[in-house]
Amino acid sequence: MAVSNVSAQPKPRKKKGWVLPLLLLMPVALVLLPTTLVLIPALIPTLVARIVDPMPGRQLTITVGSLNLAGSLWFVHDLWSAGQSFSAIVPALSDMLGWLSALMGAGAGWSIFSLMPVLSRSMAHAKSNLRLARIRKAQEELVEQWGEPVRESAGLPRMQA
Amino acid sequence: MAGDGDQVVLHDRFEIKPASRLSQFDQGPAQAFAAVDHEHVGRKLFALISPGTLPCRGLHLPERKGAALPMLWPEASGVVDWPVGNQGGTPVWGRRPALVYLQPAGERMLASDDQPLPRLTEQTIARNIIKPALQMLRELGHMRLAHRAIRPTNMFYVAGNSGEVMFGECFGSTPGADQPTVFETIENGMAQPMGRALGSQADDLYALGVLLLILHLGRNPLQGLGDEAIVAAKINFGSFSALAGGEKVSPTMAELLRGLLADKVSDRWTFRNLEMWMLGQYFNPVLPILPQRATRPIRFGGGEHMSKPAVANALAFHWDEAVPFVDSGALEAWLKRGFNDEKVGEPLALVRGLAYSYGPSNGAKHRTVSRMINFMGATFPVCYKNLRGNVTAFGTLLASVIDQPPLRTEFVELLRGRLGQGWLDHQPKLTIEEVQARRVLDALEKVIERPGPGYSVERALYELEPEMPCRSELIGDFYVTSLKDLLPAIDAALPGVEAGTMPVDRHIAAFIAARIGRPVERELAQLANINDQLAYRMGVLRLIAAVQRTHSHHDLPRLAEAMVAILEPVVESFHRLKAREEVKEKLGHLGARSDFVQMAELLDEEGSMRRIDISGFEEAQQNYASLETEAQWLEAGGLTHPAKIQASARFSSAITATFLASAILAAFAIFMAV
Repeated sequence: MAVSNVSAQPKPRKKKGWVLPLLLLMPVALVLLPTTLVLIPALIPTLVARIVDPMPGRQLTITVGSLNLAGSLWFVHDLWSAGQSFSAIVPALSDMLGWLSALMGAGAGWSIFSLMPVLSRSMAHAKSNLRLARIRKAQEELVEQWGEPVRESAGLPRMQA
Repeated sequence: MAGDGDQVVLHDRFEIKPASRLSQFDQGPAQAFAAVDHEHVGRKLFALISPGTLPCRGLHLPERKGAALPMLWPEASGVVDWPVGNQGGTPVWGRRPALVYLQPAGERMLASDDQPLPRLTEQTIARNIIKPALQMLRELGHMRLAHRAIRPTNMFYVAGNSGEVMFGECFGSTPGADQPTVFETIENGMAQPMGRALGSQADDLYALGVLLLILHLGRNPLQGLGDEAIVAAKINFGSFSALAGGEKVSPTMAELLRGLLADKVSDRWTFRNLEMWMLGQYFNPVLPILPQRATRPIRFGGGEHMSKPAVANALAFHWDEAVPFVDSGALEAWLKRGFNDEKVGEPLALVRGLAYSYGPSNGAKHRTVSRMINFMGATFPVCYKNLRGNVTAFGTLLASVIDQPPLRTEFVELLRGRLGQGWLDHQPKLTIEEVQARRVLDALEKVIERPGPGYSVERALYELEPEMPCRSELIGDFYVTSLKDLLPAIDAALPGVEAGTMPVDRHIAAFIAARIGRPVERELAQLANINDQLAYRMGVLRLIAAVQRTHSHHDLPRLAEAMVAILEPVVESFHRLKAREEVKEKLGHLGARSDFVQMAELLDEEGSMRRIDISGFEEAQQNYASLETEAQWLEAGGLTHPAKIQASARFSSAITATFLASAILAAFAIFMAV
């Protein structure tokens, strides 16, 4: 009798992969506190993405977050150009172009995430068709070489001439 | 060989004319035709054409030198092309054994058995009959041959219609088969004509004794009696007394005739006795040894019998009555009381036991009768139902009945019941022929029960008679007695049969199996498997190849063509299409050379080509199946399933975005550094 080994499998442990990077980033964030304070409001779209992204792997968060971060570099540039002081935070955050850049980055992330399934579907269909054609061709070659009986092993009837 | 037109020529010298019958020289089933010697045109010849269904011993005669024989001796012998039939006005040619003889100058002594016999004096007999008979028997004795056809209807006067005689030919038909029963010994007289033994000089001396007696008396006292009555008379009174019929003969003639007509072979005069008698030596007359008489007769078959051999003879000729008679126990009781022999129960129990031990159960009573006959007359032929034959003549006996299904079945029952071996067990001494017959009968036990081609009764026919021509419907007209002639005969016969006719039938298979001298069980097993056409056709090819290995003939275009056509399904059984073309092409080349051995190797199921084809096909099947599985997976959305695409898209988005962001970060870092 087959014994189910489902119960024997260890329960998946809750992932805590974010703790270590967070611990490593904490000193950096503290050292670069003005930059951190600028990036927190700039990365609000990423926070939103994280909230609406329920899927494991958090690809939406990564997609939006990475480009949101890239867009937020405008603020970072403004801040670092002003000496990276606490007094430069407000002027930096007052730069409309900075906000535009950060939000455009986030928007680009959203756009990629939304358009990618369409692109993937097209590519998958193309790939599937190509592979199927190759298989059919190989099968035809086998039939040409060995005759119709070669199909029988696959449980297929012989093709009528 | 058939020359131009309808000419039949033997040894490029003797022309035989199929249109010129000389029926006065017919010998039993052998028909006589006019013949011309192209080297000596003036000689008057005739040719005997023997039937194509029986062995012809005239084809293998030893070379004879010395004085002329006072008998018809073949000038030439051989197998010739012969018109065996007619189809729409065109003669159908086959082959037949032909024996060419010089026509006797004198008349035949007796044209038929119904004609009155000449009455000859003792001196005339000695001068005109015994003298040439001695000369002939001496010569035949040197060649270890028996004439087996000594009778007045087969004798000719050397000149005119009286005087010295010469004996007729004896090689055109089966030994003893044409002899009237009266000229045969008790043993051979009881047997059917085709069941008579090849015989020896002792049989010739017996026939000579009968001949001399009836010529001396000028009549045949047993004329008009049936075979059973003739044999019964000889058993009851001894041959001499039965034939003399109470007529007085001179003491010297009586001495001679009693000697020649002794029923016991060891008492019978030999050639030497006859020779000495001619020189004037006297011998003590041989007294007949009559069988022991019972104290009371037994009624059976419409007569009363006083001795065991007489009852045995009656049983053999009244089979239907014999079975219930023996079964009733009346015979056993008579054997005990009539001979005052209480111990006879023991051998009789053995007879019954053996009858019930061998053969099919429903024939046990018949076998009991057969073994009882053998018990009461040990030298009598083997009798079973309608068959009566000597074990050494089983081959010719079977040849005479093989086309009659009821008799053929009886013969098979006889063999399955080991009646031949039982007969041999009762003989005090076996001749060389009988020892050989035992060996063959023992070997036949293994094949007679098997129904497939190459076994059964057809195999028995060829095992029992080494010179038996093949009786196949295909080549039966070609008188094939040797394996070396088989393939050329099939090749010659094929144009006359329907397209698609198999070149091997049951008779040919049995003929090959009996003659080839090596096991062909595998080929025969394939031949029996008619439902598997590929195996069957390979069996046909293998048998033909086996013959070709033994006798290499390579000029068989029609057989090769037929085989190539027959093997088409075998070629089609190759899986790889290109391999089929290759095999077909090779087969064509081999067919052009009539090389059946190579054909068999090419198409061998165990051969390298076939093995490669099978393993390649299996691999191709597996490949096809795995490709089909993959195709079905793809068709079922293996790559295009929405969930899969969604997951893939999410992953791709993350990677793309990360990559872009990394590039921007790198550019920013460079910008800041500058």
